[in-house]
Amino acid sequence: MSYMISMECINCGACEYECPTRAISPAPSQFVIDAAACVECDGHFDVPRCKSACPVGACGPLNAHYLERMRSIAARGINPVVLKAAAS
Amino acid sequence: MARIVVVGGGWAGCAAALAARQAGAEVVLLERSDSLLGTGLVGGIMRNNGRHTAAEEMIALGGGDLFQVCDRTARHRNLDFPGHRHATLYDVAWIEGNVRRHLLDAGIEIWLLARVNGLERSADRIAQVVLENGTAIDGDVFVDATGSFGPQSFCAEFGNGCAMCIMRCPTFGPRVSVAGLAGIAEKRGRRGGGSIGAMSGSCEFSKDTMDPTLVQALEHRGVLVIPLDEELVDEDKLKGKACQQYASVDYARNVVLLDTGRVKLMTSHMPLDQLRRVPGLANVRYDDPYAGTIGNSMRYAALSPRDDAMRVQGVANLFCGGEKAGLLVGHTEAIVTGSLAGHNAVRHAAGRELLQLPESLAVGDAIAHVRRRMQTEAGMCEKYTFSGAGYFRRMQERGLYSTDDDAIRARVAATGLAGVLARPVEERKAA
Repeated sequence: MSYMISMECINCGACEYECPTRAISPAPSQFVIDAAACVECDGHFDVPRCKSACPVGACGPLNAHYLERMRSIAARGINPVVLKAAAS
Repeated sequence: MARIVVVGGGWAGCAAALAARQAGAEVVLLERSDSLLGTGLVGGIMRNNGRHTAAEEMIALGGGDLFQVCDRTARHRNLDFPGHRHATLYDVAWIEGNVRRHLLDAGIEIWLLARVNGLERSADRIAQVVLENGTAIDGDVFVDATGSFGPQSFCAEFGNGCAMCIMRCPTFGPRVSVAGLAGIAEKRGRRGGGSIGAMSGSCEFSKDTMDPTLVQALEHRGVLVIPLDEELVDEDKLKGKACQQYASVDYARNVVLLDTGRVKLMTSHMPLDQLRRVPGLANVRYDDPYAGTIGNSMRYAALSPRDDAMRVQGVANLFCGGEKAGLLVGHTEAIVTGSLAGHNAVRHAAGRELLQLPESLAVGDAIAHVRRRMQTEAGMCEKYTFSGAGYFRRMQERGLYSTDDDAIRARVAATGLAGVLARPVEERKAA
């Protein structure tokens, strides 16, 4: 299991500094958690450190549906609308 | 029949599609958003100063349909405002539907929500472009009319960040350059002072947020010029404007409003609380860009190297029009370069010699002049338009500016090219 960071991330970097497994790194518009490296602080802390450190509540359990929606945000990659004159 | 694929449905792409269709090709027009015209959706100003000459030259050349569509949706004609004469203002609410119908009636296939973000090429030719949803689209010749706006990262780095403009990058995906995908090195325009890009020069708000008596006056006259309080004047803002024809002090010392159906505010951006201190504007809200308080879209991020036939250098079957083709500002300018690109795409497919517009016409001179100027550092810091600044002066000096439509028709007839853009291009017969 892993934690993730939502779009609310304000790029402050507090989580990166706190993470005991160094699973957090900066990405173009926010910080991200490497799911392969994150252990949800199991064996380190009772509450995951990123969740405690984040000032805006952006760190939480991985939500696959949320990540999928973020990737396909709004009208990107959907099927085009094709317009043609009516056949005469 | 040749198949021409036009990428980008702004004014240049629409003009390219129409010209290619008139030249006898099967045409597919790909647009990443939900509507045609791009910044033309928040435009409106046609036929001001030398743009009248350019429009009439294009009509005489047979490539003037879109100017006539604009004329039909005009709210005001023969309008003067600071530095500008005899403008036509089209209605931004009506223009897109009218252009769309005109293109469909001409037999053009329009794909909306069709964002190109990949291509297949072999040697020096593009074989197909690929949409974001994976659909591959084949063509014989391609036209890159993807513009030079944004995306958000460009606006963030060189402007004041995403101001939520009409391009709607976050929703439909950022503009992707076809020439860039093909590996062509593109240039970036500069502004006064040398920094990269230029900021769009006008905003819009809706009439129902403006004082009704002021709305009446605006609709009656077409333009309002309201002096600003001395403390609100910010002349520095003029230096960054893309539209240098609207960069005179008149535009810094006054609020200039034009009636395009909505209210066109002729400044790149202005804090809302300052705008609301203007009498009659106490309740206005921005419609475009939504965050006109902080900034506007940044342009000239990606300009293709091209010749005077609008062919992109480095790819055999790629042409370009609009801002992609250089530092030519405006709808009229985009229709001119787009039309030539679309027409020559068909000539290329048919194995015919490409058309270059002669420098005895303003449209031909502008295309060649801007290409030459873009070879120089200083030239990359300027913008060029038929409607003002340096290029309009050049038009006047060379006797290219005219409002005498008969004389313009005669000038085009003298080149032997009257109606050339309206006629089908015949394939070269095998010897």
